[in-house]
This record gives sequence, structure tokens and C-alpha cells, in this order.
Amino acid sequence: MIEALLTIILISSIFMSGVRRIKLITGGFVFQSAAIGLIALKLGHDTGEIHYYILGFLTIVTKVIIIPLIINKSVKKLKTNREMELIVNGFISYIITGIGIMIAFGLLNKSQDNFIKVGIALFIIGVLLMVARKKAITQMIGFLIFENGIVLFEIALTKMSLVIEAGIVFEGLMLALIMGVMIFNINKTFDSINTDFFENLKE
Amino acid sequence: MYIVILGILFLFMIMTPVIFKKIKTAGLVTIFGAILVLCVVLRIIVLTSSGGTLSYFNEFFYIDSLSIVQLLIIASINIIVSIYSFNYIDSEIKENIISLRRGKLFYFLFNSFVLFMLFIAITNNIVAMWIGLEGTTLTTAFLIGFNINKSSLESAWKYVIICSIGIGIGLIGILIFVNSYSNQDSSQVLNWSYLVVNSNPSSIYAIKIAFTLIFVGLGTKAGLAPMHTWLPDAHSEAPSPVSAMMSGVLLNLALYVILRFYIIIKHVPGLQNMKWLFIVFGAVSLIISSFSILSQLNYKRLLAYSSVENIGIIALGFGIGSKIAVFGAILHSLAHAFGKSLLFLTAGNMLNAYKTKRIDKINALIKTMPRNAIYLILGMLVITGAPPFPTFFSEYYIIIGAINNGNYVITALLSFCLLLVFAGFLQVFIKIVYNTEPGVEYVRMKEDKENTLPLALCFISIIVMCLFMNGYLSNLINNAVSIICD
Repeated sequence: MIEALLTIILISSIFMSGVRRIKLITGGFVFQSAAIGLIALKLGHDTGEIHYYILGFLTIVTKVIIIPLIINKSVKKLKTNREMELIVNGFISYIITGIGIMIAFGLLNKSQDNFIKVGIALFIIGVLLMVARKKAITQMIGFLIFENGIVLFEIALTKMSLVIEAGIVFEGLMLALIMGVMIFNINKTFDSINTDFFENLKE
Repeated sequence: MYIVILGILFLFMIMTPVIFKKIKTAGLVTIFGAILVLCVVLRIIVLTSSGGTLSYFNEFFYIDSLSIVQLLIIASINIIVSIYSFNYIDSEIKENIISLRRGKLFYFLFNSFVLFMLFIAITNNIVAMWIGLEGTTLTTAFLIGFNINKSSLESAWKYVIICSIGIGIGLIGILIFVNSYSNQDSSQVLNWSYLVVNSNPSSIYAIKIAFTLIFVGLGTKAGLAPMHTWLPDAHSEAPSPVSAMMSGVLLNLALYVILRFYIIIKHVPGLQNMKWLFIVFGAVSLIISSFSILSQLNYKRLLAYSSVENIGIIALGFGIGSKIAVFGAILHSLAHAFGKSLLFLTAGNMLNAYKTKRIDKINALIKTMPRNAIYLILGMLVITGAPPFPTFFSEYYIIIGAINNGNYVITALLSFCLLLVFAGFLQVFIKIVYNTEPGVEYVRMKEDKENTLPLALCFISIIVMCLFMNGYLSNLINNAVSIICD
């Protein structure tokens, strides 16, 4: 079961790395976050430890329901549903993603822990989306994918107290909200959410 | 008990902009709150003056001499900056630059920002330290983009993206770090005070990777080069009180969190080489920033690069690691906090009067704004390390430490970069203060008299630091040094 969910996470992230439509990227993100939440719930069911339940519940509430709602709302308001010009085009993005996943699984060949491998793959894909896309919304989704990787690391590596875990997830949500508000402001002042226009601050 | 007082105080201060309708009330409450916070901090300093520690709530909060230094910096800069923001926000609202709602938002965010910083300084839980740092990112993101215009939004977006990646990398490092201690008592393993005594990790290799990730990740927040790229933009675009707070206090605090981890791993055998991370990143920051200072056209950017340089000096001091160098580093972080706040606040007054950040547009400040010009020159002397001021002694101690350890290359580099910075600052500020264009009549501006009280407070604090160096202050810093070095 867990292996299947991890596969969903990987496939969705590969899918997200090359698509242009922001709606499709958001859909991929919903699938990915749902899979991560289910993994946490399943682990909670297996081990009977309550902090897995909390983590899974928080992930599903914030990343499957709240954040996609925010993104969809802003996409409707901003009338931008496509990345027009990519810095790295779709085909090359797929190749980079593939190489990244190969490196993650190759380096940790000996480790039995699939969570860490998938987590590292998610870091690579998240950073790729942040660097290689121009729209601020896609960069934000890239950051959220990066954060999903952190959640996988958290599941794999440590058990922390409830307050701390809730703090980490809550701050992720706050950051997404702040980015959302900023995207609105950027759209208002620049009449676009392309980060191309960010060229005022140079030496 | 004191923690509860601080908590209630901040809850009240954060809520004031929502409760009170007048912006002036919120400002006054913030100032009085800041004074009360300083009183509590002074009381805590008296309690721990003999090198003792305090812990509250099942060791979740833990105060030792190292956190006292940070608390002192936060509390005193907080007062100065809240007095400054009282007039700043008031005049911005009067000139219709910002609306009343945004003024209230400023106080809300500002007080939460200070709360998160205090939280970092007193918490014992290593993940809670990370949560505090992330909290400062959340609150400062809006403060940087406070004047919603093209350049401030650009810098805020850059800040959020770069710092959240950096801090994410830091969290990965912390998770690996905690995991390599998972062979120990799981209820205590997140507590710094427990880890520092029981430091025998299951894998030294994992600790190496973890500390490197923590250093690079949180170093982004500390503004160490080459991860400093957000810093000049953010510090130059933020409102001046926020720049002062961020550059004087927040950079220190991020370095303080790294230092907490460094103190843990120092006791692990086989990890002595980790000090080179501090030395190399410190040296790179020094070189990059000192050369950038020479070519700046914007005086707030110049000050921002100077922050990178000073953080580099502090990191070098910690990296050299002998007692005198660490003493110098801590003294430098104290002196830099006051000196840089003085400069940023003066720059804020200049910006308010001239409405430009360009160096070439400002001439003969000594005639148009004589008071601010004097503070500008004094602040410049403090920051570049001219002799009567504490920064001279701190830099001198770090150089002595480097020579004693045989790091001659570092010594040469440090002295060379300090000279470069001195030259760069002199060139710019002498031009701003004394340069007169022929045929232009300079009259004294009415803005000169506004908002000079916080500048005076900054300078008085620096003088007080000089006078008390041999008594209370050196005692305080020596206690902190013994935590790092033993």
C-alpha cells in the first residue's frame, strides 16, 4: 500500500515537472499531498502512534483542501492558466527530473528507506519548478512540492512532539498564504505575475 | 514566571493595533511594552549574572549567558526602533503614503517579529529554534514589501523564495541531526541542554552532512555570502526601522542558532574540521561584501553590504575559536547591532528628507541636516571600527586570536578587507556630508529636527558599552565565551 502511494507521489511529481497548465499542476499537487497524507494515516494505523494521525490530518486539510482552493481562486482572478515561455522547456524538464530521480535512488542504493529517496526526488523537482518557471504561482507550487519532501523526511526520520509538528505544518500553510497575498499584490502593481519584470533591483 | 510575563506582554502588544482605533495609542503601547521587556530582561540578567542558568516549563525554555547576550540586543534595539517607528509611521500616515490600516498592520507584524526573535533566544528545543526563524521570515516578508511598489515587491518575493528554500534545507539538516541522536532518550533528544552533555551520535558521517546542511540553510538567513543575494535588496527596500531591526538583530540571531548546533558537535570527537565552515564562509562574505561596498550607488544597499561584512567578521571570530577571538565575536555582534541601527535610522531620516536613496543626489548634509550628519559620521566611525568604539576592540581581539592560532592568511585577509571597507565608507560619507556644488545655496531642512532621539539613544548605548566594558559587560561576555569554548 505504502509503496503504491509512494509511486503516486513520484508519478505526480514527474507529471508536474513538464506541464504548462497551472490547473494541471495544481491537480498533480493535490494528488501528491493526498498520497502523503494517506501514507501518514496508514503509518498511524499500523503503529498506533497518534502523531502520524495528526500529521496526516493536517497535511490533508491544508494541502489538499485549503491551498488548492487559494491557488484556483487566484488563477481565476488573475486569468492566467498557462506558462507561456518556459526557461527550461517541458522536454528538458522531464529529462532533468528523470536524472534527479535516478541520482536520488542511485546514491541511496543501500538504504532501505524509500521515504528519503522520494523526499530527495521531491526536493530536486520542487527546486526545478522554482528556478525554471517564470510565473510566480508556479514558483509557489514548486516551494510547496519542496515542503512535501520535507514532510516525507519528517515521517521517515523523527518523531517529534505534537506542538512542534503542528508548528512546522502551520508555518508551511502561513507561508503559502503569504505567497498568495504577495502574488495578488505583484499582479496589481506589475499587471502580470511573470517574474521577468523583476529587474529593478540591480547593482 | 518571567516567561509568562513576557508572553502576556507580547500578546497584549500584538493585539493593541486591533483593539485601539488610534495609531498613536498602538505606537505608545509598543514603546512602553518594549521598556517593560527590557526591564524583564535586565532582571533575568541579574538572576544569571554568576553564570547560572534558568529553565522553565519542563526545560522548554532555557536561558544561559549566551542567550542573555541575544536577549540584551533584542530588547535594547527593540526600544530604539519602536521609538523611531512611532514618529515614522505617524508622518507616513500624515503624508498619505500609507493608510491607517497599513500602519496598524505594521505594529502587528513588528511586535510579532520581535516575539519570534525573543522566542528563538530563550527556547531550548532545537526544532523550536527553527520554527522561530521561520516565523521571522513570515513576519518580515510583509514588512519588506510594506510600501507596495515594484522594487519592494520584487525584493520581498526574492526574500521569501530564497529564505524559505534556505530554511527548508536547514530543517532537512536538523531532521538528519536529530535522527542521528535517536539512539538516546527520545523525550529529551530535542533539548539543547541535554544534547550538549550527551553528545555521542550514532553516526559521525550523518552529523557531518547534517551540520553542513544546517550551516548552509540557516546561513542563508544569517546573510553569509554566497547565500546573501536577498540581503542587499531586502534591507534597502524595507522601511528603515525594519532594516535596522533585521540587520542589527535578525542576522545575529540566525548565526546564534547555527552556533548552538556548533556547540553540540564541538564535543564530538572527529569533527574538529567543522570550524572551517565558519572561517571559509566568513572570509568569502568579507571579500564579496568589501568589494561590493566600493561600487555602490545606493546608500541603503551600501549599509546592507556592510551587514554582510560584519556577519563575516563575527563568523570568522567563532571559527577561529580561541577564547579571545570568540570574545571579540560576541562583543562585535553587540556593537554592530547598535552601530548598524544608528546608521540605518539616520539613513531613514535622510530618505525621509531627500526622498532618494542615490548617493550622488545628496550633498552637503552638514549644512542641510547638521544633526543627522553628525550621527552619520559617528555611526560610520563605529561601524568601520575606529579606536574609541567597541568595534575597534572586537576586531582587534579577533585579529589577535587569528595570529595566536597561526592563521596568518586569515589575518591578512581580514585586515585588508577592513581597510577596503574603511576606504569605501569614507569615500561615500565624506562626499555625502561635506561635498558642496558651486553656485548652490544650502539651507537647513526642517526634517533635521525630527526623530533624532532614537539616534541619540543608539549612540549613548555605544558610549555606555565602552564605559562598562571592564565591568558588567566583560563579565557577561566571558560567561558566554565559556559556554562556547569549554
